[in-house]
Amino acid sequence: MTINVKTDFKYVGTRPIRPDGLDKVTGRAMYGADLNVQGMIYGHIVRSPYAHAKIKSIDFSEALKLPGVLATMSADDLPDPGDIKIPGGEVDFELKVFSPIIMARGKVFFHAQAVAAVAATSASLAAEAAKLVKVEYEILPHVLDVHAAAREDAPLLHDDVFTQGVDPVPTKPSNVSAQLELKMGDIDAGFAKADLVIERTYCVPMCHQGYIEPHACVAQIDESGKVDIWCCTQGAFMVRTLTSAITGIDVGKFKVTPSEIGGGFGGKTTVYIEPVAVILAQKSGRPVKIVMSREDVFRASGPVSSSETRVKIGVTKDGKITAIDTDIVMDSGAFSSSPIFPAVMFGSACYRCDNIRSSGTEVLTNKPKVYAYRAPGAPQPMLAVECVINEIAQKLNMDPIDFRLLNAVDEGDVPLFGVPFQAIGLKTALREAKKHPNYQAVLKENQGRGVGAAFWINAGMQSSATINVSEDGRINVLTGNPDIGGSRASMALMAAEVLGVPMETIRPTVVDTDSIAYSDLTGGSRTTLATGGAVIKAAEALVEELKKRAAALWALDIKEIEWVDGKAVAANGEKVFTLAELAAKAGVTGGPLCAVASHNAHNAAPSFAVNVCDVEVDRETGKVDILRYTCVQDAGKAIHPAYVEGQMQGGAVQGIGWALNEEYLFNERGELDNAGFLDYRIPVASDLPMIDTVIVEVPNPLHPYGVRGVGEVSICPPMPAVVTAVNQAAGILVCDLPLSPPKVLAAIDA
Amino acid sequence: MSKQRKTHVSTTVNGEPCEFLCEPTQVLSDVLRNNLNLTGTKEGCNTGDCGACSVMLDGALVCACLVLAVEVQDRDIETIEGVAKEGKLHPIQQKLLEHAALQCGICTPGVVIASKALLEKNPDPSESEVRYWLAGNLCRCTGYDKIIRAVLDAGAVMRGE
Amino acid sequence: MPKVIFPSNWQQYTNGTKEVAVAAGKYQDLVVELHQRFPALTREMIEKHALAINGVMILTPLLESFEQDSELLFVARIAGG
Repeated sequence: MTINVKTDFKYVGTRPIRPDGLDKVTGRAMYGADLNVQGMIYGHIVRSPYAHAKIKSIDFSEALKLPGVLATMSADDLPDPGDIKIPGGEVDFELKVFSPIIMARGKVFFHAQAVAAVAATSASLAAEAAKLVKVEYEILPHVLDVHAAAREDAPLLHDDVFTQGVDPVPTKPSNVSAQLELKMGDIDAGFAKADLVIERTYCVPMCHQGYIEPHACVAQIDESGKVDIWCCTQGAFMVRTLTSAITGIDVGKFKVTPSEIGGGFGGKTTVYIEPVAVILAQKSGRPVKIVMSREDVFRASGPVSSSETRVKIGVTKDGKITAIDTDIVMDSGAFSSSPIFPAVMFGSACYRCDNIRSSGTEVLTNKPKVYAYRAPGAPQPMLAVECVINEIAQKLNMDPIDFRLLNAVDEGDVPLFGVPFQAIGLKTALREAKKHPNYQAVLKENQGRGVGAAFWINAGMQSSATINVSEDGRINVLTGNPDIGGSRASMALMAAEVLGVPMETIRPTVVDTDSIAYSDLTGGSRTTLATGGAVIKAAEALVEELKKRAAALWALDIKEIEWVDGKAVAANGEKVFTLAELAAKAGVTGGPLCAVASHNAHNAAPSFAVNVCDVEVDRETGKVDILRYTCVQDAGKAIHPAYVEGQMQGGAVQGIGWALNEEYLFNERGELDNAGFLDYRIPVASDLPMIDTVIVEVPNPLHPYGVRGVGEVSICPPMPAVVTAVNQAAGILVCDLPLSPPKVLAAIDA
Repeated sequence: MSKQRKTHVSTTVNGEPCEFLCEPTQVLSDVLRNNLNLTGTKEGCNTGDCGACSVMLDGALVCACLVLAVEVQDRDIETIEGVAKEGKLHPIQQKLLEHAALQCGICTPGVVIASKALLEKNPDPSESEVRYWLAGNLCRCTGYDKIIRAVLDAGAVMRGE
Repeated sequence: MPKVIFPSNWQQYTNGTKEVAVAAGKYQDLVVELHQRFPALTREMIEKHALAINGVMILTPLLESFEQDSELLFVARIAGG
């Protein structure tokens, strides 16, 4: 299936200032914690001091004695989740793995799990009252290590978890929550053909998405039971769906207004505090605000699966890959939520190979439930595959990019997950990386270079858009997707392109759930493609309407009207109406001008990226300096190239952080020891050089503007590029991330 | 704690006289945001690690979350709300926009305040000086590249280049 | 007839069958037909997956129909970040 993909653009591909920019550089933009409303009180969540325990009782009596404490809550205030499934945009949610994150029910499964909450007239009073809530626990043995948790005699987290993906379904519950194996060809025959086989195991620690804005919300309920939520989220409709299911309040009673969002990266694709605020508001009759502390954000939101990936790759002596075999184990924390499926499906997706086997195991431990992070599941296996590819190229005396070009997938190739590729940009990206000046730079002593290539599938899903025209011809574009990185600019550019008017006359707005039709959340690299697709459709419908109005005024047939540069034109240019003129006459030509579009976008297409990293290692301290960094990525079509570059640079630096610094450090009691930005160190400005970018545009054949989606794939190539560069620079082979100075130094001294 | 009396503080915020009542444990970022409704100053950590609450206190760059509100009696505070003057952006604000140097924008007010402080002290910083000066302002979205370029460019504008 | 290619992890439920030709011309008939022919393949299992029709991935295929020469492939639904 192909469509006409537009290639000549007037506005798309330019770099105008974003429409929401002024509010963001002046501090006027309102984020999650910035709203204070009349009569508002403050919620505070009581969290478990133990990693695994039964809750025997919760006593609020002392807390309630404090004047100004107006409500309390626990899991008793929420419906039992049972086996209810909630339809989600991308995958269905099981209520029983969401509800206990909001409030533990009978048992706590990780340190800092929410157990109870109080609401009081000031934030400090609420914090004080929370300390007076007496929770009696019966401590249970806990398990933190995935291998220990997978053993038969391990402390069992859930008695209703049976390993999924095994036939027949086991009758004994297990901490091994899912297993999966995909195969194509004959793996043994593949290795038999190989002249060189390398096998390694790479470990990646649990990390956090690290958004700078903590989760925050305000909830209020009016006398009729209508619930208003203001919160920072990647999806207001997702908040509506999940909060309704968790609280048992009908979905139709909710109005969710998304604030500006201070970063998410997948971590704000679920709820943590909104249902608590709703129940406290219901019980107190007052608006309730909850703002998570940074410490709680680290301990009880987000984190990302740690993983252990064993990979074995065989090649012929002339550099053709004959077999790829991977086993990946992921720590899902206390509930099944890891991205084990994409990890198994996509690890080797960059390479053409007839014989692939990939297996995955998801294990539950007494740690916070993991959640999505930018290309969930892909960076971990790709680290292992790409590092081994680099090692193989070196052993074969081949340039690592040439080796990849020899084996890279292209149109028509079938990856392990089965869906054949259409036009894709991997080879183009590889060639661009090779000819970049950074790739020619000469390396000195203690310096090394690493290459990483990556794939991500990208999503489409449901989106809607509304366009209204004011009397003076200005355009309002309404969408339901929180603008996490400049999407208002791309929505406005696409509308400008269709309507033929300058972007400055278009005001894009992100609206609440009452003001637009349903939209899936901002995630999965889908907003520009799917919500942008809805904007294009709505704008096209508006152009038809404008032509109709012009035809009526001129008493011509609509077929005689052309829409050129924001004007209705007829009679070879003799007759012209500007958009503003038609807008002024809207009242007499049929009423207000508006257009609505919605769709379930089935036209997503994958993205590929290639990164090259040069480092220098200090042999006395083990410290790594990034010297040069190059990102090449296929955007399909870059609607606003500066924000595409921004996604590439941001993803690269998150990956650099994961490779070099970031890791969750749990003590033996299962408490996170580094729950703050001082000890959980994300990259800072002085850690980095400029991040050079090259945007490749191989249009998505299924999208009217060729868009693919750019947000996620960028985090996949950095880890292997950085790790290979460090190992080469220091002449070491460390496969256990992060490559922090002590670890690098120990390997140098070994 | 709840029974403690509030303290009266008189201070100057963005050149205007200002008074507030605060609890003795309240920090300046909390008072700015929740007592004075100046929510442009952001809170990302409340431990002085992220720089989102950067403000100027008597001409010195500080994390407002590390300053007790009662300490600002008779002091001079400048926040993000006071940077654009007479309807005109400061060059650093303009350059951040032109370079697309913000994605989510939560770190941006802190980056504006910190960069302005740098450029007032050192009108012609090197890339490395900008990077070390801004090392206390965490940004998770941009990878810093465009922010650094914007600051260097704003410096050039302020020098009249 | 449309051809269905099973993911390799489904072959434990299809007695090792890798692909089948089906009579169904619509997704809803396809689910019924597959479950009838391979009872171990439950409707829930099938409906949890996305369907790729001639290489175009459709997360919500309920109302999809396909041609006589269509190639159909079930793929796990993947959540993004």
